[in-house]
Formats: sequence, structure tokens, C-alpha cells
Amino acid sequence: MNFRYFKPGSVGEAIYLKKEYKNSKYVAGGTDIFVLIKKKAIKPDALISLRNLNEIKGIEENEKFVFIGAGTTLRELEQSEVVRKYFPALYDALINMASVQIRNVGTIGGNIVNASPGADTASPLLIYDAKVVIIMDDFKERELPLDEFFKGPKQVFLAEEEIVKGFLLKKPVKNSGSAYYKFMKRNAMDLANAGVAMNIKIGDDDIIEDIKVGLTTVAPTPIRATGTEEFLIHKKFSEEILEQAGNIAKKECSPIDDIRGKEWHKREIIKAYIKRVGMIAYKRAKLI
Amino acid sequence: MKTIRFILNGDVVEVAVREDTMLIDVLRENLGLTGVKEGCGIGECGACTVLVDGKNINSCLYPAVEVDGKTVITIEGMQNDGDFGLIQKAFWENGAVQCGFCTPGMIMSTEAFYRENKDREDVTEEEIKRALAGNLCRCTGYIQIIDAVKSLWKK
Repeated sequence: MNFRYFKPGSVGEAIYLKKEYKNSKYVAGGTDIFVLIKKKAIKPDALISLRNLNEIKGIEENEKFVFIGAGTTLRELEQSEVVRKYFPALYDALINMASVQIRNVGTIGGNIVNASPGADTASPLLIYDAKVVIIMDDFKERELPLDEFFKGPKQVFLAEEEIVKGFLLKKPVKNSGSAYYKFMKRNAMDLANAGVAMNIKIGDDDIIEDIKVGLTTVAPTPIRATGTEEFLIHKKFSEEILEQAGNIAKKECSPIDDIRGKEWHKREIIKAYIKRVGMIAYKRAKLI
Repeated sequence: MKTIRFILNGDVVEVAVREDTMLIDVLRENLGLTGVKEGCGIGECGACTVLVDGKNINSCLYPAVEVDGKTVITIEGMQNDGDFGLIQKAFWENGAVQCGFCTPGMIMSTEAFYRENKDREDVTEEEIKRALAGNLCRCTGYIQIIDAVKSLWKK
């Protein structure tokens, strides 16, 4: 390893350093970047740490929204009452991610910007209509929906000097429930072979009034299963209808054979998990 | 080179480090704390676990310059006046140590878990497994380790 390492104390200083050093990278928790550097997959001349930027840390809420700072660690989120109360699907994802050691250091911003198709926090954020708040190199801010932020595997629409400030999430409405579940080869310290997140609003007579479905590791990026959502909306909730929805989700995703599993198997997981996650989300909707 | 100052196992230390050095290398090479083990070097096995400001982290993925001004505790800081500390004793009594390579990391993760939960009546096996998910052991099959952690709440 051979790189300079900077610890800017403000976003302004970080952007300035990023412009100064051409072959440089921002680093948040570093739990992915340092592995890549050790494996010699990348060779940056300088790393600019985002760890000491208080401007991008913490959780704030108002009546309708919750803002999660990109620099908030996965562990801080997992232990946050706000996350547990309003975003159970995100909580489901967090407690099954990596290890305590990694979650104590890794950040939600890092997980999203790293943009793995299997990023565990992505599909939960997708079903809560998350918007990404980005600080541009002129210090102005821009916002875009999370599903428009992902460009491809490990790629996002983020300019070289830009910094993700955080994510704006809508608080859940009455009679809604959500959940996330992923299939892994072992029960801990593993990445998802496939995963499903669902946010469902149940009206009178069990009619599905609103539905959002997010899928993990079954497309070039984390995706919303819009075909499945269109099928489910305004239908009466039942196990049978989830079964049918699973068949649609299984077809509308585009998994590949890779180290995590076979394409056909990932499609079957999606089908099974649409039902499983749907049932949990429904039960949670009924509890509120 | 950068000079960093931090509290290590209760004492203030000052050491000059390369900017691209990970904490584990400074602890082992510069400061001689070889109780901190390096297994995989990529944050999977947990042998290098230490506490930074009370939180357990993988020192193989933690830049040394980031501990400037912080508090670090390693396995060497877990002893009690030359004798085993509480958690070390529990591991010893329950036969939770075989080859011993994973033990320093296991104990540091247990320490972080114990600090967070010691005032509770009891903890579940599921909680213990989650707390230690980032520490791999190739000898014990984990049974004795989980027993050792459980025993901390039985005293």
C-alpha cells in the first residue's frame, strides 16, 4: 500500500482535497475500499476520509420525513429508535449485514455509493421512496430519487468531487407495514443470494392501497419490481395473490449465474420471498 | 509520516506512522502488542478485533491515523493486575480456548457486547451469536465460546 490519507474536518475541505489530488478516492468506513486496495484491485494515490464530517452524520426527523446522514454508521442506524419504529425493513437488513465490527465502521452512504447489486440497505431505501441528497462541487445541493441514482453494477450517477450528504425517507403512513428478507448460504457474515423488501399499505377490506417492492442481487443494480407492484395494487390481500405476484417478480428480474448462485435458483428465491416478506409486511401493517 | 497520540490500554502513547498503515500493524510492529492477531486481513475473521472508543472494530481495516485522539483497548488491556480479567477467566473456565488464535478477537467482541448488556438480567443465545458473528474459530465449534459468554450473566 502506498497512499496519502487525509482527514478533512469539513465538506468544503474534502471537496478541495478531492480536486487537488487527481487519482484519489473518498473513503467513508473503508470496509470495502481497504479490501480492494489490499487485493490491488485499485491503487489510489490519496484517500480522503469522510469519517470526520459531522455535516453528513446523524438522523433527523420532522413530521413527514426522516433524514439519514450518509456518514451514519450501520450500527448507529441499527440502534436507532427512529429506524426501528419507522423503517423496519431497513432494520431487518441492518441486523443481518456483515458483523458488528464492520457495522461499527461501515456507513449507509458507503453501502449505497459502492452500489453493489447486493447492497443490503438499497432495497429497503427504495421501498421508502428515498431521495439521495448530494453536495455538488460548488457546495450547492441536488436531490434525486434513489432508483435514478444507480447506473450499473458498482456505478452511480455521482460526479468525481460530489459527496452524498444523506437520504431523505418518507415516514410510513397509517396501516402500512414493511419488511426485508435475504437468502444467504450461511446464517451470518454473508452477502445476499437474493433479497426482497416490501412496503405495503392495507385499506378497508384488506385492499392493497399502496405497494412498493425492492429486489436485491437479481439485476445489475438494486431495483424496484414495478410490474409486481402494478399487479398487486388495488387487489385484495391474500396468500394466493402473493403467490401470483411472486411469479411476476420472478420473471421481471434479471439475475445471472455467478458465485452467489444460479439464475434459476435466484428467481425461485424471489418468488418464495415475495410471499414470505409480503406476509410479514402485512402482519406489521395490521399491528400499527 | 504523521505523529498520532492516543490512549492505549490506559496509557497515552505517541507514535509516528505512515499514512497508509493500518492500526494492526502499528499495534504489533511499532508498539509490540502481538496479542492482536492478523488472520485474513480483510475484515472477515475478526482475529484483529480491538476496541476503539468502546466499539469493537477490525484493526486490519482501520487506518492508524484515525485513532488519533481516541481510546484503544487490546487484549493486553483486558488483564486484571497480572491475572485474567473477567472475560478471560470465563473463557478459561469453559474450555473456550483451543489453539488460541481467535481468542483475543473473541474476547474483545465479547467485551463490547458485555459493556452494552451487562446490566440486563440475561442475554439470549441468538444475541450472543449475532454479537460474535464477525469472529471465526476453527477449533471449538463455538459451543464452549457461547457457554463462556453466557456464564458472564450467571454470576
